Amino acid sequence: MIAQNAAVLVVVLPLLSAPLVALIRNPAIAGAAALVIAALDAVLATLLLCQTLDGTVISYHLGNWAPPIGIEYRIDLLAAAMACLLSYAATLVALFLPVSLQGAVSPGDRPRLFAAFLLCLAGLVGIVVTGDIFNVFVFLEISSLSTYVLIAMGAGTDRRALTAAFDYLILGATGATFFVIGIAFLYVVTGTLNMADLGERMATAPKRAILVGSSFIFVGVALKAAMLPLHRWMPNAYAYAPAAIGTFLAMTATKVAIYMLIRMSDFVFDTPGEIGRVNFAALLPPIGLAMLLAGSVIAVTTKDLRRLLAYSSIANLGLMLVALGLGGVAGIAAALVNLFNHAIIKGGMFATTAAVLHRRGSTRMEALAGLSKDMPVAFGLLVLGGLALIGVPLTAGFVSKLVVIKLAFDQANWLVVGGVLLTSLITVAYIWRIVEAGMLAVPEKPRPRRDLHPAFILPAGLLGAATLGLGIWSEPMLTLASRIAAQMIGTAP
Amino acid sequence: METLLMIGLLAALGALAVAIAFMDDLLVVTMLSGIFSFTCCAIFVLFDAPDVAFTEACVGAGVSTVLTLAAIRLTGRREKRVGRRASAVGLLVSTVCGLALVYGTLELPRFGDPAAPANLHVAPHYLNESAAEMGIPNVITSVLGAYRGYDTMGETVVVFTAALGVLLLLGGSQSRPLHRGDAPARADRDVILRSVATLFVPMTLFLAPYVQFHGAYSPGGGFQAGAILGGALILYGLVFGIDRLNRLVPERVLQVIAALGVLTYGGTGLVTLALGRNFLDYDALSAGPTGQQIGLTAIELGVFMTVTCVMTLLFQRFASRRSEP
Repeated sequence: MIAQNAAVLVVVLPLLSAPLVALIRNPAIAGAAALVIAALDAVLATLLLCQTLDGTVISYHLGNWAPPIGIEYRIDLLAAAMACLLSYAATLVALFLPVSLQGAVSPGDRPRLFAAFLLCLAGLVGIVVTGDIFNVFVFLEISSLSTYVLIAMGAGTDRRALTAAFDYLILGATGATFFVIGIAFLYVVTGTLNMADLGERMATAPKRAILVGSSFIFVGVALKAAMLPLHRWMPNAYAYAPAAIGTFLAMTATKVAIYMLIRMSDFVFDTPGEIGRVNFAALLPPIGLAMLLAGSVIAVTTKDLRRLLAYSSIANLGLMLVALGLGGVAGIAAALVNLFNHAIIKGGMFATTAAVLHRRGSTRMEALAGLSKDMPVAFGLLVLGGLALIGVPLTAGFVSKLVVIKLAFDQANWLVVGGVLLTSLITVAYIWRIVEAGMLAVPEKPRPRRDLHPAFILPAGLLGAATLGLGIWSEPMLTLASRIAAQMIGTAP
Repeated sequence: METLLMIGLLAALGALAVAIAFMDDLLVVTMLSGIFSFTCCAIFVLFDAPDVAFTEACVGAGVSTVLTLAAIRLTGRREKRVGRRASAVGLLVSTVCGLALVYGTLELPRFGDPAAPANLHVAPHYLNESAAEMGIPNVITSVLGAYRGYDTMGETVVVFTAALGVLLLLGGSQSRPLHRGDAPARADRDVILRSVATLFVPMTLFLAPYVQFHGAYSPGGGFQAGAILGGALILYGLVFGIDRLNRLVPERVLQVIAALGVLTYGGTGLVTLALGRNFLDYDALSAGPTGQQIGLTAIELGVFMTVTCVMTLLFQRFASRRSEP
């Protein structure tokens, strides 16, 4: 029974546990409950991945109404893989969430924060498993609302979290409005909300309404994906949110927006690999390249480790957009390799940063002095992640960059090749700043040697190990990505 | 006649929006947004969507105005000028968006056109089959509660998330004990206000269950009924003081009921799962339209619980908070 209903349980489990967790009074029990639920959700997502690995597409009719009358959950390999990414990320973060909230959020508020965390997870998973575009909007609202709250909870340590959350609230709400206006246009001219059905009926619909509708949807998603010039909310949100929440968002939030771009290019817009009739795909490489360069350059000048990582994320999102814009099966596959690998690399670095913040109370560059002596493991993990961001061989980052460069090389797109190589050099500069701050800077006073709090060892260590592992043994990720891409385009792998 | 009315109302909306954008007295802005919401209500009625008008009147014009006023009380009435007043980029972006919307609508089918795609694809099923499948005449209720019931569950969770957020942000447990404020309406002075409220609140208490249970036949349902009952409780708190409201419905009780509302909705889905059907397949509860009706009643009850309690909770939180020293 669980196996055949896993499609809906993967969303409903965290969604309905959240109100219960919110009512628990003891923060320790609530934290443990959140961890257990996230872990169970990861099991369900894994189950879905196993069921879809052979190319099966699960179609689950909610309320037993056949689509397009009712809402359909439609889980292909891409949806299952994304659900895995989201629930694994939540489980790893839930391991150190309670510890990292110490001193930042009062104990009485923590159960509600755990509930908001579960709602955020449920919202994001709900977006990736559904086949109904209005259902996407509903779950986008759930995840966005809970994200605003989670970011604002950083105010216990830094009041700037409030303005960061407010900025994101205004921009995110604007993005959601654009998205829903776009849905309305598409609905008026097609009469359906089911994405597969929509894709078929668009061909005969009035062109202007489709054009405007898809443009509004594109802008809404672009905002969520922090696409230049709509990226302003992102660095502050990542830097001032509670560190554990920042880790979760870095691994999931913008990734889901990229997922939406890929999904909509297949379902809502009938030209696979190209987004819409106005062909937004042509926009993606220039925007992506601009993000690559701007993100990397600003990262070099930041004074705070978490802001540095956030700007580096903008650069990496740029890389995914470039890959997506290059088009075709290979383009989607390259974007997906980047998406998963970057979630792992950046997740590991943010988790390590959360551990540093927990010990030192700050992630400003000056506060890192002496890190290599008294937190050698944390420093090692940061450097490992940094090497992966640069794209050094034997790390996952090397694989990601290689697939993009290879693809651009095949298409003789020298601008992309040059841009990616140039940013690798700039990445060396900002990673060197971490090394310099952590190893060469002389601390004001010697600190006792206290490495990572035990709660951080498993998540940060696992993500670090995966960064190395997927670099050395890159085959599974590449196969998975190309299988997904082939399924999306509709060709045999 | 109707066209003229529509043009007049839309012109009023435009004028109000411009006025709101240029006003810097936030109290006036709040009042104008209230009027904006009421104008929207009138438009919704013209579009034959009285249930949306209901909710807009209660939530848009009523509750959100009260909440904004409470926020202004905590912060200040005048907008602080920072930076430039208007930016060329902002003007350009909004002009482009506006033009795009106009361009897109030029080709849309006429309002209410029976040959419009939206009226030919899934809508005929809703209109023709709903009576047989649900056994209730109000098609909107069957779309919201059954055909697209899962979306409605999501919306209920959105409402719950909003309450969770306000509780977290406006100092949940670490907050000071609830502030004992004076009743805003004083017994010796505001006789009319108090007597009107005394008459009005009980009537509203009757209206809410009516709207709730009549949702099968006429515009209404959990969202509307919840907004009405929440509005009545807020009115009570406004006139007779937040302390009396807190004594009537303690915050912890509201929190529990709000959570239970979500669980009632989701629990209905879990029950149908346990009976071996799909999530929210009300046919599991009983054969034919009866099953659908049991399911609809259960989920509307869940929506009602959550919406009522969240409305009241939001007001309590804002009203109980002392302004920062």
